Parts: sequence; structure tokens; C-alpha cells
Amino acid sequence: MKRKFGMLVLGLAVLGLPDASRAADGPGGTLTLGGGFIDARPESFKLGEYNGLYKDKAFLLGGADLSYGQGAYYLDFRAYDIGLDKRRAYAEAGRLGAYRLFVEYSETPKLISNSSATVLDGAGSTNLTLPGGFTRGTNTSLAQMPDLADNRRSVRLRLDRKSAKAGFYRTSGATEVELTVARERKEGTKYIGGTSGYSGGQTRSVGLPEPVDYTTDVLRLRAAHTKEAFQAEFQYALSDFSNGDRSLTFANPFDVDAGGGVLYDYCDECRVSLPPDNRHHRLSLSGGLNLPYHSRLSATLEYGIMEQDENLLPYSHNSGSTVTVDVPKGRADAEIDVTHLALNLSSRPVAGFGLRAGYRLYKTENKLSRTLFRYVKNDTAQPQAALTEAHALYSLPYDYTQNQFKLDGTYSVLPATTLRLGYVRDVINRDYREVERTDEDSYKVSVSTAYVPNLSVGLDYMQADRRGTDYDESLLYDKYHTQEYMDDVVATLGADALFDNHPLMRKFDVASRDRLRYGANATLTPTHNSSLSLFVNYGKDDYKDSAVGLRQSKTSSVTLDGAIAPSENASVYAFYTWEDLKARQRGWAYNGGGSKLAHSADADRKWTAFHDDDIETWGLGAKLSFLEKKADLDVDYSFSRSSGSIRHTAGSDISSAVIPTDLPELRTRLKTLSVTGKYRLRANLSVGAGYRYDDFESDDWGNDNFEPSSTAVTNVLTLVGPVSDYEAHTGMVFLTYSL
Amino acid sequence: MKRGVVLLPLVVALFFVLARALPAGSGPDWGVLNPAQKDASFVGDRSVCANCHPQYVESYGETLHARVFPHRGGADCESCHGPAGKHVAEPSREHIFSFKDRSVRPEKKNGVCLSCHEKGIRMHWKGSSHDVANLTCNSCHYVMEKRSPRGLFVNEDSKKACFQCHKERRAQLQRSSHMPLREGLMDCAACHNPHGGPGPSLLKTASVNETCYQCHAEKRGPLLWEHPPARENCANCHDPHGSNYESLLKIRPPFLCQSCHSVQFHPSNIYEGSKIVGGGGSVAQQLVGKACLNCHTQVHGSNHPSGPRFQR
Repeated sequence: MKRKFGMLVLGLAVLGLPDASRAADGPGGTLTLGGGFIDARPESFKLGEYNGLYKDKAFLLGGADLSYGQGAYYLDFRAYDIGLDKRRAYAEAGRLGAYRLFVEYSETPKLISNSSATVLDGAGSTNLTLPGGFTRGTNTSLAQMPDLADNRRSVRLRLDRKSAKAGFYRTSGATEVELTVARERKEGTKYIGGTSGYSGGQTRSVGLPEPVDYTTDVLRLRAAHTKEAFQAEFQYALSDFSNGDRSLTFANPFDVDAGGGVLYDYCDECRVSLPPDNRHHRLSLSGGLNLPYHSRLSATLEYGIMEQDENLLPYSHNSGSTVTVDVPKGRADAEIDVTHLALNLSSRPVAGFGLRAGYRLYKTENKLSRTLFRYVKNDTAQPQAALTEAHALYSLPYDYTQNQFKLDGTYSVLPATTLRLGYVRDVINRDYREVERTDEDSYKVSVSTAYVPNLSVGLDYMQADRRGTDYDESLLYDKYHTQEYMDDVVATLGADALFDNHPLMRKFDVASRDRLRYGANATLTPTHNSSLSLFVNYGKDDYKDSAVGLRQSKTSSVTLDGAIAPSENASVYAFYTWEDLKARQRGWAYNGGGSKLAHSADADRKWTAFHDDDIETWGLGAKLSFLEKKADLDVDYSFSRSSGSIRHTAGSDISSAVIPTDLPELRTRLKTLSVTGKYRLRANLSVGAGYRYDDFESDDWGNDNFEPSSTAVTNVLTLVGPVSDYEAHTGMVFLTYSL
Repeated sequence: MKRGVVLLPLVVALFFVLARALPAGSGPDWGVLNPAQKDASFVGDRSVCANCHPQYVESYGETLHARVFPHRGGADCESCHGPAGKHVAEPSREHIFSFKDRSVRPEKKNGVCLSCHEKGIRMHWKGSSHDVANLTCNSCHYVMEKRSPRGLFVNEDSKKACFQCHKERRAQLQRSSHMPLREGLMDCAACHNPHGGPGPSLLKTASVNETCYQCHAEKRGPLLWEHPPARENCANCHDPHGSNYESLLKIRPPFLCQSCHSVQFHPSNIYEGSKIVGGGGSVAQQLVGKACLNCHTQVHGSNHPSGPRFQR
């Protein structure tokens, strides 16, 4: 850290500090240096989620925006937040109108949790072990896992992203060439679940600290030729991702004789896969041609290959298991090819009239072979005699093709008044989905006018209808399952039981949908230095054919926004936004086995969930100059509050005692006040001070009111703790030197 | 693929042959853009403009344009405002091309900028949704003063250029789960190209997912067991502009998952208030911690031979 800072300071010195010997155009820019202190009560990762300042801490403030010029040659250097965990530096040198070179470096933290806990040792590694003498059990109860409380230790979840990029750009007349290379390292620990257990009903899960050791290398080459009437550009991009860790093994705290003669035999040590290495190549050709009548034709053609060929793990990690069936292939051999074509023709043949037509093809071609895997649901020591084709699934090469056509027209019906009409037809064909093809027609109309002086008004309306071919789960089910499995279901329950999802379920991404959007906005500018705006928007998605699944979602919002600058030394703004998000979904609770058909036909086993989120956001700020512009003051205040409710209704047959209880309110509150003042001591030297106040509260029934890795949840040793509310005061002082 | 290998170089060659064959062009036709400037001569000296517009010229001097024009054969102020000969001789608004003049149609104003900038990320401006909405370059950019570190935006913070119209996005960024835009580590242009492009929603790449993979390459795969909605569009489940649910999710799990999954036993069950910690009933693991993801942790797809249920 010290070395990096030293290098940055040296960089500043070399790149741009004042130098009397330099020529007239010489150095310019600003250099800022200072420090600050944050007082946080209590420490909370949420406070420093992206800057690392989550607890009491002193920090260095530093930044620069420097340049040096000598004729056509120049050198720029910018640095931001060099004393924080989020820091960036950028340097560029070149000859104006001829070439440039740049290097860029950035660090970005992502704090995930500071209240997590686990009983496992080795967080950050790929092998998590239990402390010596830990008593494993069927569940997390004190009787089963008596050592839980004594062995629970905190673990911080955090990722750090470090990115370095360099590039070269050269232009010669109408031709440009650009080469960019980048490497990004992402390291740290995040969350992943580790499961064990023989059957779905007996599954146990352990929240695991997942090691992250990612490297992504990027190469981008661009060549372009530009003329006034025609431009063409060719690009090749490679993104190569590699993960230093292939899998994560963990000692299982669950292990069991469940009593009653039932042995679940969870694995002693289990394994979960981690993201595999992958590559993405992309070739792109783009061009535009200006035509007569103020028309333009532009096109993009791309071909991409996403590939992944990681060695596959065995079906089960348990060395004592009797899994004897080989994995059907040793490597993933996965590839998706992407073809993308976009054509756009626009024209404004006469003043006030415009037309646009567009076509888009986006096609993914999944080269993965449909292969049968006799999978082991979870790692387990249970004998694997059941690994027959009746308990196997096919991996499916899902892909899709989108064909989209667009037509827009604009016409000035009155001075400063434009009417717009638009139509979009969106056709998507999918393989291995319940709906083979969806067709969506969208119609848009909008009017905007500034006909009345000092007032602009806009109205817009959009309606879209998405319809598909018949929703047929067998299109997926028959390809996913083996014939032996389906024969087994027919023999046991009958042909009507050949479904995974409830027959009335309609997955919302392919379901029939009626979409409605409309909005209005008005901006009043009574004087050249003031404005008042009102924005109102409404949207609704109706899934009328979805008897089970998402049935409706609605969004409403209102924004009131004002700004005034009574003098050139003062400006004030304020805004208020209210949003209401509603959704309604229906479920159908049913068991399997002999109850499957009866339950799934019993209308009194339906339930409905109503989601309602109400969000308000306020903002207020001012920018003031005093003392003949020697002093500046910036004040910004924002307040955001949300409350979310989830209510249910349920049919009488779901269980003997179900009268649904409303879930508690989900709540967040965030207040931020920021005040920054600067005073110019000399023409090239300013002193500044800043204060920031942060106040955050949240209530979330999913993680509040219990310790992670505790007895609170029987079948899961959770990892992530609650998000701590916090209150923080931050003070800063700094000097800014202008060259 | 083989056809592509043959066709692509041919198409590349054709484009560049065409590019070579076409004339280079000679910049804006000022007589068409502003008939009052027809036959006007170029003054070619910024200091003449400074006689009447000293503040503008002084602040303009700090901008990238001021630095570049002298080395690109440009005429500084007149590169954008047209020949000022008549304007200097007879100072009036009529004799100069003004970007403030509301009677000048947007495509004319934009045409001036595009005469140099119609290439690269701005190649698809014409016909883009912002073009159709009659936005002008100076709706978002201000070239007379260096207000932002890069890009000559109207405000120091480039996001505020977008928030002029996209008011809801400004509010969304205040939500608990958010990408680091309000911390200044990203801006809207990290994902979007406001100048237009071949992707949906003015995205920089051809699809939503290809945009997300730029930073989340570990989710790119492809994988042995794909989760189709995740492969097709990350925005099926995530709201990238901000959410009050963890991981930018649109609806809180398990309800998000139950929007598509109603399989026998636990996926179809009702998860109501009695099943949380302290709710009075037996706690459902589908409601607490990571909800469904406590077990189905590989929800973006799994590469494990035993991963069809996304558990490993």
C-alpha cells in the first residue's frame, strides 16, 4: 500500500507538477490533498460497501486533474480517491490529432457482510474444515449440535477488484486504429450454499465462504475508416476469464442417524463447483452511409463465440459411495455462438418529418450436446444403486433467436410540436422451452410540445401484446427426462402426472402478456434561470392466462423537480419522487407421489401473494458563492425511504391450520447530508472542508432477529448476518493547488 | 462458422473499398444550416470573438476542443458557429449559428457536431431513440466550459445529464441494493451508449447479458446446466438500476422463484409470516438467509455433472 502510494506521488511529480523551465503552454490543472475521519456507529459494511469506509477510520484524501502541453504534444493525469480503497488513476499522452497512449488503474471494493459467521475453519481457502471434536448432527438444534455456539466465528465477506488497462490509438487522415488490453483481478470471499442429503426433503445446507480468485483478460482491436458520407469500423474483442479455484470442499456439520431406523448418511466431506474458465471472442463490423434526403443507413454485423471446456467433476465427491457410473464426458465442451445483425434506416426528407425503420436479429446457437447425466442430487454416502436412467436428466442446449422489426415516424404538427408514432414487432423462437415462439406487437404514440413559451409538455402511451404458441410443458419435460422415468411415472401415477410444474403455471418470461405504459411530463421555465417539472409514469404488465405464476405487476411514479438560480452566485434544487411497485402472483401447493394429481386439481390449494413496495426519495441542495467568488459552499441532502409488504390469501385445503400471516414490513431508510466549503486563499490555492452525515436503517425478516450459523433455522447453517443500521459522521479538510 | 470465416473478410474488404471510393467531404454546409451565413468569410481568430464574448472564450480555452482545433486545422469558434465574417461586420444573432436558438431544428445542431464526430460510439446516432426524441448534443454536453473531467458534460457528474429526463433512475440509485453509481465508480455510460447502438435500450453491447458479462464474466459460461431465463436476459430477475432487495432482485425470493416454479412439495408451498424466525411456526429455510438460494445456490447455471437442480 505504501509503495503504491509512493509510486502515485512520484507519478504526480513526473507528470505534472509545476516546472518553471517548461514552455508557454506548459502545465495546468489542479492537485488536491487532504485527510478525513469517519466516525461510524456501529460499523456496518453497508456504509462502506463500495469505498471501504465502514468503521472509525482516518483516511487520506487525494486527487489530481493535471495536464501538460507542448505544441501538439500533451500529457494528462487524473487521480481520484487515492487514499481510499476505491481509487483510480489515469494517464494519457499523445500528439493531438495523431496518436495517444493511455494507462489506467482502478481498485474497487465490494463489502458484502461484516456480520457473517460460520463454524467452518479455512475461510478464504478451497477446503473448509470443522474444528476438532465438533459434534455433527441431524439439524442445528442444541441437542444435535451442542458445539455450535462455542465454535461460531465471524467471517468478513468482501471482494476486491483491481483493474489495469492500457491502450494505443492512432489516426492518420480518415483511418483510425486502436488497441486496448486490460486485466482485472477479483479476489476475496463471498457467499455460496453447500448442500448435502439424499432426497429433496432431507437436504441440509451450509452457508459457505466462497473463495474468489478470478482473472479476466481483455483484448480489443478496433480499426475504422471515416468519411463524411461513410464510416466503417471493424472490431475484434477477446475476453478470457479464469478462476484459480475449481471447486470448494467442506466438512459437513450435518451427519445423521435420524432415528426411527432411517439413516440419511450425509457426506463427511462435500464439494460444490465454482465458476469455470471461459472465453468470449467477438468479431464486429459496423458501418453507416449518409444518403440523399437527409437519410442514413447503418448496420452492425457481429459474430461471437462463448466457449467453456472445463474438466468436469465426478458425480459425487464421497469416496465411500458406490457411484459406479462414469460421467458421460470428461470436459464440458460447451459453446454458444452468437450472430447479431442490426440494420437501421432513418430519413428526414422534409423539415419536420422523420422516419426510421430497423431490423434486429439476435441468434444464439448452443453447441452443447444433449447428454444424459445420472446425477447425484447432493453429495451423500447413501449407496448409489438408484443411479439408473429412471433417475437421470438430460442437459439441454437451450438457445433462442430474436427477430425484431421497428418502424417510427415523427411529424411536426405545429411549430415546436412533434407527434411520434411507433411500432415494434418482436418475435422470439426458443428451443427447450414451454413456448416455442412468442410474438409481441408494440404500439407507441407520443406528443411533445414547446408551443407555449416557457412551457414544454410531453405525453406518451405504449401498448404491447405478447402472445405465444401453445404453452406446453412437455416440450421441455420430454426432452429433460428419460423415457424410463416417464414410463415409471405413467405406471405409478398415470399419464396425467407427467409434469414438473403445475399444469397451470405460466413462466412470466414466455407467458402471454398485455403491457401498458403511459406517462406525462411538463416543465415550466418561468425565467431563464428557473424550472419546475412534473413527471408522472404508470406501467402495468398483465399475465391474464397465467392461472399460476406471476399474474400482474404495476409501477407508478411521480416526480416533482425544481431548480432556481437567483443569481450567478447561487443555485438551489429540490426533487421528490414517489414510486409504488405492486405485484400479484398465484401458487398452488401440492405434494407429490399419490397426492400429486389430487392436490394439483384441488382449487382450495391455491394461494395468492400480494407485493406492495412504497418508495419515497427526496433531494435538496444548493450551490453558493460568496466573497466575490472566493468562497463556495455546496450542500446536498437526500432521503430515501421504502416499505414493502407481502400479504397472502390461501385456500382452505393447503393445511389444516393455515390462515396466512402477513410477513412483517420490509423497511429501509437512508439519509445523507453532505456539506462542502472551499475558500480561495490565493489565485492558485484553495482550502476546503467537508462534512457528511449518513444514517441508515433497515428491517428485513430474512436475516434479522437471529445469529448466523445458529440454532434458529433447523436445516440450514446460515452464513450471512443482518445488515447493521448505522449512523456515521465524516469530516474532511483539503487543499487544492491550481497549476 | 466456416461460412462466417469466409464471408466476414469479404464484407470487411467491401466496406473498406467503399470507404476509400467515397469523397472525404468538406464539413458543414453553412449556407444550408443558416442561410444568413451564406458566402460569409471565416475570421479565423478566436481573439476577435473574445472582443465581445470574453467570458465564453476564456472558459472555452480550458476545453479539449480549444486544445485540439489548432492542431486539426479547425477554426476554433467558427468550427461550430460557422463563418463569422458577416457577424463581426454586423453583430447580430442572425449571422451566426447559435445552439441556443430554439427555432433551429435539432438535426441541424447535431449535424454540426456529427460533421466531425459521426464515427465510433456516435456512428449510430441518426435514427437512435434519443435522435428520434429530438435531443441535441447540447442537451447533455456543454462545450464552452470544462465542467466535467471528461466528456464535456453539462454537469460535473455525467449522471446528472441523464437525470434531466430519467428522473426515476435518480431515485432508484438511492435504493439499498445498487451498483456503485452514487459512489462515482460507474456512470450510466458504463452500460449504455446514449448515442445509439445496435443493442436494446441503448446498451453498449448487443444484448443485456453481454453487457452484464463485461463485469461478471464468471457468469458467462456457457454451462452444462443452463437456467434459460438467466441465459436469455439477466433483467428477468434483476433490476440493474437499484432495488431494495438483495442482489438487485426485482421480487424477493422465494416469491421471485415461485413466479416460474410450482413443482410438487416445497417449491409450491405457501411461505407466509408464521414461517420466519419468530413467526410462531416452524421456520422455513426458503424464507430466511438466502431463501431458495440456501440450497439452489448455482441459480445462474451449474457446470457440475450433478447440477441440474442448481445445487452444486
